[in-house]
Amino acid sequence: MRLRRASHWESTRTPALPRRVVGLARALRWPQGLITIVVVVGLVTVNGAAARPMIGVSRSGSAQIDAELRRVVRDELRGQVALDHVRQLSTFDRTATTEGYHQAIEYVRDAAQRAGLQQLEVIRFPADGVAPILDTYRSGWAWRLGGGELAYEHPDERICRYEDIPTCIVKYSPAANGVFEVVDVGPGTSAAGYAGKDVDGKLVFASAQASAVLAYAAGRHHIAGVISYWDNYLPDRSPFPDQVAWQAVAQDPGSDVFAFSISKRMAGQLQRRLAAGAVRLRAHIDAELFAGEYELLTGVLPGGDLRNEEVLVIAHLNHHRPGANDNARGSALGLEMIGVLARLLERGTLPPLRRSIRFLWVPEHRGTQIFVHQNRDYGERGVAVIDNDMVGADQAESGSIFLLTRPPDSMPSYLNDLMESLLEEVIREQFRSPYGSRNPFHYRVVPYSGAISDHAYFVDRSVGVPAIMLSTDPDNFYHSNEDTADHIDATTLMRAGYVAASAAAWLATAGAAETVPLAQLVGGGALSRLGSTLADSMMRLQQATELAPTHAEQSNLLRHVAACEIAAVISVKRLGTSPTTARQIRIVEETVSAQATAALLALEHQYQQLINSRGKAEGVVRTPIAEIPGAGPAERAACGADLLQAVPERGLFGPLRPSWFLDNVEAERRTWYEAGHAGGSFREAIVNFADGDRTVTQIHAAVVAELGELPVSDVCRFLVDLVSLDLFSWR
Amino acid sequence: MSTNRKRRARSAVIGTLALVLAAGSAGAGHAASPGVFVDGTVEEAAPQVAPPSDLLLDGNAAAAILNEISGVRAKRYVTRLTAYNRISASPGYHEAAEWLLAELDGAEILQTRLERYAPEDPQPLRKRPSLILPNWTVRGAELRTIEPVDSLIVNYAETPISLARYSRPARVTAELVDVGIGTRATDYEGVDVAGKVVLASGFSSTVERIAVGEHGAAGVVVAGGSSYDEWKGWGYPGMQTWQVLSPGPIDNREPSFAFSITEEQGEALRRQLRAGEHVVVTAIVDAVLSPGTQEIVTSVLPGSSSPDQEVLLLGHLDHVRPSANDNASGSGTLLEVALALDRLVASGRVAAPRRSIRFLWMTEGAGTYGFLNAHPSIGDRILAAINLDMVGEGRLPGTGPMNVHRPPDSLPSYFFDVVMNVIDHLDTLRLRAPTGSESLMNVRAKPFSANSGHYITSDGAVGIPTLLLNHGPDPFHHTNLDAPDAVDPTTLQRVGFIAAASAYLVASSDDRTAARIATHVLAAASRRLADAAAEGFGLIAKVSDADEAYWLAERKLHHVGAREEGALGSVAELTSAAWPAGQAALNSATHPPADLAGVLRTQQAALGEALRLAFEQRTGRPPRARDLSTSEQLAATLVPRRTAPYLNERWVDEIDDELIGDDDREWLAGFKAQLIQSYIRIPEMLNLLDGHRSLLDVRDALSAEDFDFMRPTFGVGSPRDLSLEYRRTDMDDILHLARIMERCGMLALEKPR
Repeated sequence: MRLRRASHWESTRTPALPRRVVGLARALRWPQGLITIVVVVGLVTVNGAAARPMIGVSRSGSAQIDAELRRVVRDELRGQVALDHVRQLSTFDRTATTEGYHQAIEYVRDAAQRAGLQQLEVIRFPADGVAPILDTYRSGWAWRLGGGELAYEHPDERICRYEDIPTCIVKYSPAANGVFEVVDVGPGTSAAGYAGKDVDGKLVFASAQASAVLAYAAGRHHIAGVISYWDNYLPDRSPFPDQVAWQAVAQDPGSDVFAFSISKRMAGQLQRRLAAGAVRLRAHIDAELFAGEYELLTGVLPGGDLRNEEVLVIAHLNHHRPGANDNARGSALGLEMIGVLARLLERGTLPPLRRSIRFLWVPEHRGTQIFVHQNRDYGERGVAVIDNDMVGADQAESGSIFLLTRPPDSMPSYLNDLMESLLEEVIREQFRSPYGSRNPFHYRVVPYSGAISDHAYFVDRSVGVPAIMLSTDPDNFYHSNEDTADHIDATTLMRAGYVAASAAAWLATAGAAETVPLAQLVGGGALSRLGSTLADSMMRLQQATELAPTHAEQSNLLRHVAACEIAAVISVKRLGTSPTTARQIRIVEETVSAQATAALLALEHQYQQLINSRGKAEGVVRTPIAEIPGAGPAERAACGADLLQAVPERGLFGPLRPSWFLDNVEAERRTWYEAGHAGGSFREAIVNFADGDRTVTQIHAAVVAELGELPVSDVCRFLVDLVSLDLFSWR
Repeated sequence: MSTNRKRRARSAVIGTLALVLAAGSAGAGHAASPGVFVDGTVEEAAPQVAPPSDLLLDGNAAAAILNEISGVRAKRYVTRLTAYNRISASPGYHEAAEWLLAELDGAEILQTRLERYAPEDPQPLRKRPSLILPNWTVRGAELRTIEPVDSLIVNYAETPISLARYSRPARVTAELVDVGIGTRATDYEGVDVAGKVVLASGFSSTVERIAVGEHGAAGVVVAGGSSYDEWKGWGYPGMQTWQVLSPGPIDNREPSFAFSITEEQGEALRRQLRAGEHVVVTAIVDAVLSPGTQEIVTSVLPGSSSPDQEVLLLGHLDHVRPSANDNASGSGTLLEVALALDRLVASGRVAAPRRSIRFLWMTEGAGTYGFLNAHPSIGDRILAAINLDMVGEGRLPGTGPMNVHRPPDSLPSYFFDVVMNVIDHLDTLRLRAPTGSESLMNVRAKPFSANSGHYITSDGAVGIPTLLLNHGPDPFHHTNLDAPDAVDPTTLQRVGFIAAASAYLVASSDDRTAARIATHVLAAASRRLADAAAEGFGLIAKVSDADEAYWLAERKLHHVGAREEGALGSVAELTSAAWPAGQAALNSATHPPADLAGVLRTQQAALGEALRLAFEQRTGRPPRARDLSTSEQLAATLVPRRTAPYLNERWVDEIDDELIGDDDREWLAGFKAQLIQSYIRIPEMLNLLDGHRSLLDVRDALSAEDFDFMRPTFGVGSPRDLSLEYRRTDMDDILHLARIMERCGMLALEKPR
C-alpha cells in the first residue's frame, strides 16, 4: 500500500496570493502570518483530526443520508443471511471457469431470485485464450481441475491432496502423473540454487512463488514441476505453519510443467528427508486448460423515473475453496442486501427507488473487463460502484482492519466521503448483529492502490464511474486454505452491509435536493484534508534542508489536493441539479477554494519567513524558484518544449493492460520500461490524468502529486509510445 | 419375537477357533539428521505410525481407510446440510434428502433408495398406530415491535429457529407482557395477559399451555438461554433456543404460536417494559400443518459372500437449521464414510466386504420407527450398528467428550469392544485434518442411555446391538449457535475412521479375524468382570446390611458374567460354521484347546469366592442364603412371555386405559412420574424377557445393570445407591406393572413348565 505523501514535492511556480484573502487581510490590517494561523487553527479545530490524516478522520457524519433510511436498513440487516451464504459458498471451489464456479453461480442466482432480485441474467463469454476484451485485454483459457495429490513414494505417505487442501494444486497447473526425484533449489529464482544440480526431468523444491520459479526455469532448465512453499506475502508464517498459500502460474497451454503449493510444516519435513537422502515423490494432478466460458451473473432492483441510471454493487465470486473472506463474503453480502432492500421496498418502509441498483457477480478482473466491454456506455448509466471484496472477517480473529479504498485522484468523487461518513457512524454507534461478535469496529480510508480489484475498471477515465472498494487488510488467512467460513463474523458483515446498502439505497433515490447536504459533507472532508495536507507540508518545509525544491513540491501538492477536492464537491451534481442547488453548491466550492488559497498563502508565508531567517544566518537573501521533482532543466530538455505543452488525447477504451503494453512496444522500449521507467502505477495514472485538456507538464504535476517523483521525460516517452501504438494522439 | 433370534451362529464355536494372532511390524523410522529446517525444527519428527498390530482391522485395509476418509470433505457435507431447515416431514427435510441422494448418485457400488412412509402404512411393530410427524410448511414468519418503534426482532427466513416448531398461523398485533419464566401459575398472578403476547423464559409448550390455554393470551415469545437450564445465560447472549409446540391439539385446543429470541433481545424488551413503556408487537406466522410423509434414505454396500448379513451405520438427518453438530455432523460423516468405502472397494484398494454395510439417514425417532415397520425383520439381518449423533464437536468451552454408549445388557455383543479397539488407536494413528484442531480426542465409554435413536434399534423387538457415538454436554445443542463453526474437521475425520473401520472389520471378518475379536473381547470382558467384583467389594465394605450388599454384589457379578459370556458367544455370528442359536448352547468346555468362555467362568468363580471371603472377613460368618420377600418368591415362580409384537421402548403406548381400572391408572401415573428419566429401565425389563428368565431373574438383572441417564441430576438411581436402586425397581412395582401389561395383552405371566 502506498501512502500519498511519502515523497518530496516541488513546484514550478510560486502561487499568487488569492486576491480575496489578501484583500481581507489588508482590510483587517492583519499580518499575513496571522492569517495563516487563523486558517490553520480553524481547519484543525473544526475537524479535530489533523494528527492522523486519512485514517479514521472523525466526521460530522451521515446526516446527509436520511436518518430513517439508515435506521431501517440497520435494523433489518443482521449479517446472518450473508453468513449462512458464506458458509455455503465456501464449500464450492469457485476457481473461475470450473464446475465449482458454475455451481456457485447457480447457487447465487437462485438465492438472489428468492431474495427479490429482478431481470436476472447469466452473461457468458468465451474463455478461449483469444477473444478480445476492451482495447488491450483478451480472454484467458478455462481451466478444469479434477483433483490431485502429492505423496512420498517410500514410505507411501501423503503430503497433501486436493480434497483436503484445495490450494495444494497451483492454479492453472497442467496435469501431472508420475514419480519424480526432488531437488532443493533454494528460492529457485536465481542460478545459485541450481548450481551443480541436475534438475532436468525433476521436481524442484523452492521457497519462491511457483510462478517466479517457472519463469526463471523457463528456457534454462527442463524441470518436470515445482513444489513451492512460498510465504504468501508474509515473511514470517510461523504462527500459521500449516497454511498452504493459494498460488497461480501463468496460463500456458503448451506447458507441461506442473506446480504444487505446500505449507511450511510440509516443507520442513521434505527438507529433513532430503537431508537424509534422495526423495522421490508421486505427483498427480488431473487438470487441463481448455476453451470454456466465463460466467457473470447480474440483476437489478429496478428504479423508477431514472431507471436507466444505476448504482452498481459488485463482488467477485471466484477464488479457491474455501476462500470465505476472499470473496464468498462479498458475494454473500450482496444477497443479504438484496433481501433487505427488497423487503423494505415492498413494505413501503423505503421510498421507491428512482435509479436501479444493479448487482453483479463476476470472476475478479476478467469478469469486470467483460462487463465494461459489453457496456461501453456505462459511464453514462453508472452513478457509483461499490466493490465488496473481503468484507466479513472477524476482525479480532483475523487481525484485520476494514478498508475503504478511495477512487484515484484522476477521478475525484463525493462517493468516498459518503461511505466514510457511514463508516464513521459505525464507529460512533458500534452497533452489531444480534448474532455476531461484540468486536469494536476498526476501519481506515486508504488511497487508491492500483488495479487490485474490480473497482479499478470503472475509475478508468474512458469508463468514468466513481468506484470505491470495501475490503479487509491484513487478514491472517488471506489466500490460503485456512480462509474458512469459521473466521467470519455476522457483526462485520452487518456493518459492511449497512454501509453499502444504505449508500446504495440513498444514491438510488437522491435527486437535486440531496446534493446540497452531500456537497457540504464533501466540503467538510475537503477542509479537513486540506488542513492536514497543509500541516504536513509545513512540517516538511520546516525540516527541509533544501527549501526551494521542498516548497515547490509542497505547493504543487496543495494545489493538486485543492483541485481534486473542488472536483469532488462538484461531482455531486451527477445526482441532479437545479439553479438553487447549483448556487448552494457553488458556495461550498468557493469555501473550499478560499481555504485552499489560504493554505497556499500560509505555506508561502512560511517559506518567506524561512528564507529570511535562514538567509540571514547563512548571509544569503534570495527567493529561489524551483521546479517540482522530475521537472528540472535536464528532464524538460529531454522532453522538448513542444511536447511539454502538448495535449495528449485518448483513443484507448478501458484501462491499458500492462502486459499488452509491454508485449506491443518495441523491444528496446520494453527493456527501458522493464528497467523501471514509468512503472505500472505511474502508467495507469498518466493514462487517466490525460483528459484531453491537461498538457504533458500538467499531467506530470498531477502524477507527481499523487504518486511521487517521476521524470517528466518519462511521461513524454510513455505518451509518445502510446501515440505510436495508436492509443493516443496529439491534439 | 425372540430377542436373539438372529444369533443363530452364536455358540460354542467360539471355543474351537484357533487363536491366530497376526504379528504386525512396527513402521520403520528415518535416520535423524540435524539441521534447522524451514518450519524451525531441528529434530527429526516421529515417522508416521503404521497401523499397530493390535488393531483388529487388517493393517492394509486400515491404512487404505485412513488415507481415504477426509474430515475436511466431511465438514463440507455437514455445511451443505446446514443450509436446509431439516424439520422432519417438511419441505427442508425433503430437500436435504434430495441433496443426499444426488451426492450418493455418484457412487459406483452403493445401492441407494429413498423410502416414504405414510401414516396409513402398516405398522407391524406397533399395536397401536403411531403418530407420523406432520408436514409443517412455513411460508414466512416475523416478529417485530411496532411501538415504541417499528423494529424487526426476528424473521423466519433469516433464522428459522426463531419460530417454535409447529407454530400455527397467526397475524396478531398486541401488547407485550412480561410473565417471567411463564411456566408457573404464580407468574400470572395479577397480570392480565388476555389478548396479549407474553414474554417468557420457560419452555414454549408449557408457557403456551398456561398463558394461551388458561389465560387467553394471543401468543408466546421465549427469550434466551440454552436448552439446558443450568447453562442459561452463561456467556452467549446471542443464543436462541429451538422451541416446540405440540403438533396435535392440547386440552382440545390447537396451540397458537411461539417465537424464540435471543437472551439479549429479551433483556432489551424487559428493560423497556420495566421502564413502563408500552411495547406493541406484530407477530405474523404463515404456516400450514398437513399430514406428513416420513422419508428415509438408505444405501447398501453389498457384501460379497454373505450379503444378507449387514452392519448398520445410521444417523438422524432432521432438525432445525443450522443444527450442525445435531446432526448434520452424523449425517455428513455417514455420507463421507459411504462414499469413501464405495471408492475404496470400487478401486480395489480394499476387498469388497463379505457382509453388507448399510447406511441409514432418517428422522430421529419417527424415521427409525418407519424404517423398522417397513422392514419388520431387518433386525435379523443386521449384526450390529453404530448411531452417529452429534459427532463433530471441537474442544470448545463447555463441550464435553465423545461418549460411546454401549448397547443394553439385554443384547450382549462383541461390537462395543470392536469399536473401542479402533478408538484406542486414535492417538497413535495421529489422525488430524488440515484446518482442524490438534487436540487429542477425549472418549468416555458409557452404559446404555436413551438420548438418541439407538435405543430403538437396540430394542428387544428389533435386536440390533447399537452403539451411540455422541458428544456431551454440548452447550450449543438445539440453539442457533450449533453452526458449522462449532464443527471440527479433525473430529469428523476421527469419527469417520471409527465408523468405517469398525463396520468394515465386522463386515469383512472371517474365521481368523473372528478368533482375534473373540480373544480381544475375552480380555475386555475379563477386565469388566474384575470391575464388577471391585464394585461388589465396595458394597460389602460400605453398606450397613452386609447380607443385602453381598447378595447385590453377587448378583452383579453373575449378571456381568452372563453378559460377558454372551458377548463372547456373540462372536460366533462372524464365523463360517452354522451352529444352533442360543447363548445357552455355548459349551466351550467340550472344545479345547481355546476354551475362552471357560476362562471367563473360571475367573468369575474365583471372583465369587473372593466376594464370599470379603464378606466373611467383614462379618466373621458365611453369608446367609438369600432372603426373598413374598413378592420376590412369587416373582420367582412367574416366567413372563411376550404375547404381541411391539417395541418395548414404546410400552406406554401399548397400555390401553380402557382395559385397566381407575386404581391402576392412578398407580401407573405415579409410577411413571417416579421413573422420570430412568424410564429406559422398563423397556430394558421387557427386553430381558426371553421366555426363560423368571420375573425375579429379570428384576435381578435389571438391578445389576448400569444406565446412563440423560441428565446426571435425574440419574440418582445409580446402582451404587442401594435404597434408590430398590425404590426404582422394587419387586412390588414390577409385579404390579407386569400384571397391568398382562391385562393389556402385552405379555403372559406363566408358571415355569
